[in-house]
Formats: sequence, structure tokens, C-alpha cells
Amino acid sequence: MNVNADTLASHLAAALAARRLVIAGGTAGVLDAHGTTIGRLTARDASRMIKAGTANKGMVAKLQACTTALKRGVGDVLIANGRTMNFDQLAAARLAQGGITQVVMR
Amino acid sequence: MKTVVLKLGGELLEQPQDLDRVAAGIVALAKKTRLVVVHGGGKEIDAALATAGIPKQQVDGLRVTDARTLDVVVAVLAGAINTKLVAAVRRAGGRPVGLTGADASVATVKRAAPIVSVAGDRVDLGLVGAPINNGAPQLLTDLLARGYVPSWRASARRAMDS
Repeated sequence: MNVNADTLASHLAAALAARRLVIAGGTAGVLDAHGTTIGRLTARDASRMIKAGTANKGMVAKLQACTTALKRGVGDVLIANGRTMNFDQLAAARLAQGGITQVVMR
Repeated sequence: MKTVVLKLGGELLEQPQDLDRVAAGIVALAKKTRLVVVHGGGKEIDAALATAGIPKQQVDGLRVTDARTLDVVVAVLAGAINTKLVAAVRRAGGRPVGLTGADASVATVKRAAPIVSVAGDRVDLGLVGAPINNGAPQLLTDLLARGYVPSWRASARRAMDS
């Protein structure tokens, strides 16, 4: 069977009790209406964006994966641009780089 | 040591310069944390579908998958993209292991229930699996404990009971 990669990643993160899930794609995290990266979202914000239709199609699957992972105990989820992010800093609790959306439970 | 799961969109694995940067990044990150990599296929799958004359269907970023589409997805993900990523991480000095959910039943799935799209339509995604929550997969924890980087493509084995 085919499994959506965001869905599988969120499942594995939960099953391994990962402290972080990083979803790297082609855009600098979740963008607001002005195209600026939103630095921090809660799971509730993410659900609201899905329902309101403000998230684009590719982002809906990512945001759904975020909320699933967070509800199952993953520490946080980062949505980032894989072409520009500093990989070796992704293990640090404090994010020292911009262009990343951090999604947290609350 | 804590675990980080890194999902890579297929667009990051298409161009050689992106692939090399990602591979170097994986190796650097794996020195700091236990790391599991999951990747999709994206446009390479779309291109292979177009070559095979199979129309692409997606709802809210989720691929609707019939039997012909599944053959193409598995061929591209396993045969081309995963192999390419594993080779690149190896060249960058890492210890990748290419995996699918079928390997030692690391991720079993059941057929996904129809979804209600953001637009309000009820959609059957076809041959798409929803992972079953059945604890930490032993193969993965073993590989992580031994310093490997398990690198997954997004397809899986169907559970026997569904």
C-alpha cells in the first residue's frame, strides 16, 4: 500500500517517542497571508488553519501530521525549508535559525 | 539519546546539488541525535505516472492510489529515490539503511478510511494505508542503538488482519 510520507513520519515519531519531528520541504515553514514565516503555532492553531482553508493543499497533510504527532507525545514539530535549514542545529532545543515554523501542543 | 524523525519532501531529492546538501546534513545531524529519515517521492512519481499515461489524483495533498498508481509509486520510491538517497548519505560518510514498512513489519497499516476533504467531499483514497499504532518497532530501535540511520520510503505492508 501507499502511505503518505508525512503520515508515516508522524507515526514513526510517535512510535519511537521522538522528541522532535522535522518536516522539510520547499517552503520556509507555514506562511502567513503576507508570505512571512509564522514562528510558532499550537496544535489548535494548526487545526484551525486546516478548517478555515487558509492552508494550501500540500500544507494540509503536513499540519494534520503535526497535530497527530503532538497528540501522541512528540515534543515538537518543525516545518522548514530543506534547501536552506542548518541540519546540524535541528537537534538543539532552542532554534537559532529563522524560516522555520515550530508547532507545539500548547 | 533522544530521537529525531526527519521527513524530506521529494523535491529535496531531485537535483544532485540538493541531494548532496541533504545527505551532508543527515550525516551532521546523526552525530548529534538518533535520526530516522522518511522521504516521499513527489514530482518524480508524478513524472513517472505521466510517462505511464496514468492521471494524477490528489485531495488535500494526499494521493489517491489505484493499483496502477501503486505499481509506479513503489517502483519510483524503492527503485530510484530511496536508492539514490542511501547512496548519497553513504558517500557523505553516514551509515544509512534503506527501509520500507514491509521490512520486518516495521510499520503495518490498514486501509485508510475514506476522508472528508477540506472542501467537504467524502473521498476514498484507494490503496492507501493508515499506520497501526503497535508500539516501537524493534528493527528500528535496534538499528538506532547501533548507530545506523534508517531511511524510509513511504510504502508499507498491509496488516494480515485487515
